[in-house]
Amino acid sequence: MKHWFRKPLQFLFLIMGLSLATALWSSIQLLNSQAKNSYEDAVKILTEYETEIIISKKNNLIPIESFAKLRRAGWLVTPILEGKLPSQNSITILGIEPISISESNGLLNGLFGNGEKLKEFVIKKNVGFAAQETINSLGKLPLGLQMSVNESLLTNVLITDISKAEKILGHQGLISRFELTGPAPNNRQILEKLDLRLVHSNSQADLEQLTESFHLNLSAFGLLGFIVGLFIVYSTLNLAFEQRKTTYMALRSIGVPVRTVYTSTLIEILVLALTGGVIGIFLGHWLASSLFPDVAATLNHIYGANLGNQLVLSMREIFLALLMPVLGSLLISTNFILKLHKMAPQNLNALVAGSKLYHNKIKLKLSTALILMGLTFVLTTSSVGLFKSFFIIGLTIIIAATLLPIILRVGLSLLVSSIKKKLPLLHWFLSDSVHQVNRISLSLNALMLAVAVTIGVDNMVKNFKETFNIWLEKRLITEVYVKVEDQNKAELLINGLHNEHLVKNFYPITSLKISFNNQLTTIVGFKPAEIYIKNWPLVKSNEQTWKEVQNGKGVLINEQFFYKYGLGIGDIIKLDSLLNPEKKVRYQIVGIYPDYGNRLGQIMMNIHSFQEYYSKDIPLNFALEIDPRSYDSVSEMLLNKYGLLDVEIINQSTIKEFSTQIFDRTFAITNALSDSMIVVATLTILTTLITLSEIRLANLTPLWVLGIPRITLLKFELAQFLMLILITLFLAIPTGLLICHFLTSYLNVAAFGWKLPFQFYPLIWIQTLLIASLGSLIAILFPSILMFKNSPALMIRRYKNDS
Amino acid sequence: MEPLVKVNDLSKSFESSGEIFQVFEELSFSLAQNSATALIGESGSGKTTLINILAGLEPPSSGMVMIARNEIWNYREPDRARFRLKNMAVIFQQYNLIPSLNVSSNISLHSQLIDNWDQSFQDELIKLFGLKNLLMKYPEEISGGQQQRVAIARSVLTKPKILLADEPTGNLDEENTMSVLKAFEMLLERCKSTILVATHSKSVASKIKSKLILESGRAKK
Repeated sequence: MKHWFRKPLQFLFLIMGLSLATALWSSIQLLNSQAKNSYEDAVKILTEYETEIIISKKNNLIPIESFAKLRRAGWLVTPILEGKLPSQNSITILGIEPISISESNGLLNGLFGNGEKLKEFVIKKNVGFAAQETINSLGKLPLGLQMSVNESLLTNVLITDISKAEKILGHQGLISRFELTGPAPNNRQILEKLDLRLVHSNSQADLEQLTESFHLNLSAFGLLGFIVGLFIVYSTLNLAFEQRKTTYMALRSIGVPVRTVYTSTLIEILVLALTGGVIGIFLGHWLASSLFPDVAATLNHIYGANLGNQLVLSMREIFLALLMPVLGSLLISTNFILKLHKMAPQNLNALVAGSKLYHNKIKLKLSTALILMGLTFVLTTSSVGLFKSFFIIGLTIIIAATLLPIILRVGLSLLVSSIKKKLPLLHWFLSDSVHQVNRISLSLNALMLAVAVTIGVDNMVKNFKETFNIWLEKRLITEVYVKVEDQNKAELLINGLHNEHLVKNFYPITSLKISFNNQLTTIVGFKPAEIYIKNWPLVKSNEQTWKEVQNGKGVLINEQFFYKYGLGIGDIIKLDSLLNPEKKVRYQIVGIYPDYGNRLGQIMMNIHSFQEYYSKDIPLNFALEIDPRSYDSVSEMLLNKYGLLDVEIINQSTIKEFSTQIFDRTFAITNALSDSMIVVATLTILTTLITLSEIRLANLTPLWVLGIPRITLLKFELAQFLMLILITLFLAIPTGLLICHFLTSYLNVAAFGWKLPFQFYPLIWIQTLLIASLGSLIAILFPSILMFKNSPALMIRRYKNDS
Repeated sequence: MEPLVKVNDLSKSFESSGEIFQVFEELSFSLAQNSATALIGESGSGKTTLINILAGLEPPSSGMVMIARNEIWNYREPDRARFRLKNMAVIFQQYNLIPSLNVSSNISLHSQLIDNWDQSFQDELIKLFGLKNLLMKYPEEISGGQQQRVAIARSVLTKPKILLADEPTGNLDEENTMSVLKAFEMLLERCKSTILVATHSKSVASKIKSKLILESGRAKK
């Protein structure tokens, strides 16, 4: 420990390295777990938008008898009665039937938790669940309910047994809707008989889609944070050990038992790791808090979840955060101690940076990299799932990290041999750089990985955004969209819009979900008019595409469907008819379209075919082609003449703006994290160089002694680090693009079912490289100037101590 | 003939833990061109410090050091370094080899830097010091004695005007010590160098006629 008292600056930077590694790792963990918890809380809240529901065709209340009829017909449904509390209009009361609703996976776990609560709910029938704030608002209203606090519920929502809700709301024997607790059967004749209709909400799918993308982002960064963190820990401790080798040599020479040396070293490392780790947890909390507004905004946009004002550190997170520096440090020290054990005291000089040892390792590393490259290639040729995609990206990172020092070393060695004798100082400079690579390769790797991943992810996000915007432009073919809930309004629109001079054309759209290969699939009925033919984005098509869709024999499928079932253009699919369950309808796939933001497979067909085989319900969605300048007049006409509500009229530009906002928010955290990663990586360079500066002094003093001025050496020192960093950053570009390729072509397909076209954005690379170079330059300047600020006499004295 | 090295009233003191420690005081001596001098003194008498001051590496507290009519401590550090590079060679107790260069490159570096590298002289020195089998090895891979021989070969190869050697034979056996003395003789004969050798070894000191003795902070010839 005395070593650190003598070298407080090194101690500071060692602790800083350990803290930064922990901070990076723990902040991402903290954000991810907070986001996951809030998502889980959000899905616990029972709202009508989160599941498929059955409602009355005329928007009336439904007689409770329908419940038994539906159940007998094989429909897994649960009845819900919803209404405003008569005496307290701001509070919504939801009446539920506890037995059938408990079939729903996890829907009400937050409410009932263990079986006891459910039992109490079933037996007593007068139990009410609400958030504390709602209970306070209820005050002493005579509801006859025994209230139980449940903070996972939205404010102003009260849940109770359906029989109790009937009494409170005065709707005896009636319910508002049914919620599906299992997949909808394909035979839907019963719905017709009962005058009911199935409403498919996409909210849940979209929600899961965005959430998955969000967590995937954070998990990927978490993985990277862990790897970069380990590099930092390894790099700082390795250098610390190198500086201690003379002490070990002396201790062993004077006969101190090796076990004492090992034990004291391990205890010391453990204390250091814990100190750095604890500081890192605080730093990580601070970093997470500064990124928190972005995360909160993202989650708020995605599922309206309120994350509260502060992050809470649990014991589990603290334990996980400390695991990395402690385990990393112990692994590194064990490795060092094993080396120490194998060597005689007089050979300790070669302990860390022995060039001969390194030469032998080059072959091993190169072979490992080649084997891993082969493995990656084999993995990419077969079908790729989510885990496999992560594995491939992980392998790419390991290969790049293994190859970087080899490329630097081999490249520089070739240069050394080509200029030998002619330019002695340049010869020394390059030879020294080769040796330097051994010492700082881990920091360089941390920098390369941070930059590569930033380039890869930023390139993908930019790629995605541009593709998304183009796609949005093509998909939103008309200026106005109308989405009504009421079939009467829909009928009015169909009959009336033909005669409206402000409306050039209108296109009905209808959809429902069916089961295809036991998977939920959406079928969409649309009118394949000229406007679709001109605009609809297709990734694969042929000359007959639109003709076949128009004649009802051909269908378009989305990319998700294409990747899920491996069915392409020309293939035939057979779908069960919902209106005639005995009939199988045969369609040919004639086109594939991109469908970002959708998780489900989708089939688009001519609306006539849809109405013939799937549903005769009046379409409730319409695309209206108008003069963009007449939007206000059209909107006014729809509101006044057709009785539409504001929310039922959607402006194309509003959707675009909203979609773009959602997109930007989803990836806001990605940008913030990639920037943090670069900052931490440049700080790694700084800590490594500070720790390295005394060793460097011992390496450079012989040249100064020969007569090379210190200012010249300072220039060489700066040039050397800059050269190594620039080569590293340059190599980060292909690595980043490879990561981007795997993200767009494998991870996206596996996670979301669509593939992005791969595009290059050199401006992003340049921008990232400039930021990283600037950060690194500052990181280089500080220790180099510090090193050369020492008086010449001090250089000699330090040289004596360290050599 | 005017002496190559002239030292007048040279004093050096250190401050350590708040106390002033006087290494030597008002040293005055000169070294003639093409001469060898043994610098003798007890451990801690300031031999290494004196060599460092003469080499322009460590500043004196007061006094003057004139080498080939250049008052080196009046120079700025970069100029002093360049003067050292061109005119001097210093052999250190710690050898001061460059870790990233192999033995061959270590030997040739200094002479190549001042553009007076002589292949045949290098071969001669490699043979003299028995370094042939070590040429491709790195300093960390060879013993202390071998490193010392490499450091001496490097200094001698530069054919310096002045060679300052601090305990050059400290880690060497008798045979190698003789080789070192032979190398010094070569310098005296071929290059007319001026050599100052700080040594504890009585046998080395006995082979050098001129002696400078550091005793109680004073110099005696």
